Amino acid sequence: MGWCAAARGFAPAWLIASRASALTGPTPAAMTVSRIDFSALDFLLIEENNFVRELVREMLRGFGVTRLREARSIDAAMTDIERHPPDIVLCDWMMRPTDGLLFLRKLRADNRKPYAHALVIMISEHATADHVQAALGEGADGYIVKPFRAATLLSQLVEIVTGQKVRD
Amino acid sequence: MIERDLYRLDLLRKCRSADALPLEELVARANGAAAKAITGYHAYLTGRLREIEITARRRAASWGPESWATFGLAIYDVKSSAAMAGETFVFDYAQLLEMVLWRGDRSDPQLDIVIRLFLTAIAVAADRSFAAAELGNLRGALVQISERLSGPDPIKTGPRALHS
Repeated sequence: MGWCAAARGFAPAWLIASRASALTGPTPAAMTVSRIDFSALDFLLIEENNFVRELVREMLRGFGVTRLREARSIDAAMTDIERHPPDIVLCDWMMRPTDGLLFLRKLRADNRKPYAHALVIMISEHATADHVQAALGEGADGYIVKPFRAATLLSQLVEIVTGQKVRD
Repeated sequence: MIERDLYRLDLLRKCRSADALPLEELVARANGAAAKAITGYHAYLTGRLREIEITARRRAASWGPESWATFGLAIYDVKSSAAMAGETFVFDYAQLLEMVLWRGDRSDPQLDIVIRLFLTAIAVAADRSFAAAELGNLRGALVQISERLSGPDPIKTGPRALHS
């Protein structure tokens, strides 16, 4: 088994963690959702790798996401967020010079800000429980390990919005 | 907590419409879109190869911590892309080179060999003409080199952490 295959194997269901279920329990809205329409939600994708950004963008479009903005750095993302608070943020952990964890701290720092409650999925190649806990502890709502499939990303999105576990 | 629950309820309300599609259909659409995006991977890799080659040549001149950081991040980007594209071959070499870089003495002449191996791997992958047997042998040498080195596990610490 190659390293890549091993990395794939490192992303079992237990790692596709969600703050909604892991820390706070299901939302009051938790219910069975078999259909969903993301077209009315504002998404922000923060990823500096051009190829990965394109790949995730295409996945999101496949999910029917139409309101998608992108940023290549945390600083650019924060500027964008101040102007247009997103509903859902997908953020790569390994950003420079500011990383994903610091981004979470900034986002959650002031509860009165209109963007403070935005749902965040942290994207990372780190597959350890410590990393997952660190991200959730800083306020991430979900955590997904690279490489991931479209079904895994969708299950995370559905889970953080509805509190519903979806098999990917 | 109530605020967050209300926020989620509002999002859920926005996600309900007559146009809502079954989850299975969304996944099928996303898989199709992702497959198209993956076709751009080799073009991306070719661009990255040129950049990394130029950076590697500069090693002959004086290098500071920033140069190493740039080189390390380029390797990380290639590895990350390879992982998402399912390109095991390039991912393996990037991972091993990271191990050598972060564990080893950066003035070690063996590093030159490792870098050449990595560049060869990307070049072969970018051309999409795999010389698997030859590169398999090279990989054996690469593993031997990396095993002789010791230090923190780059997978746990991350290249950026070590360069910061």
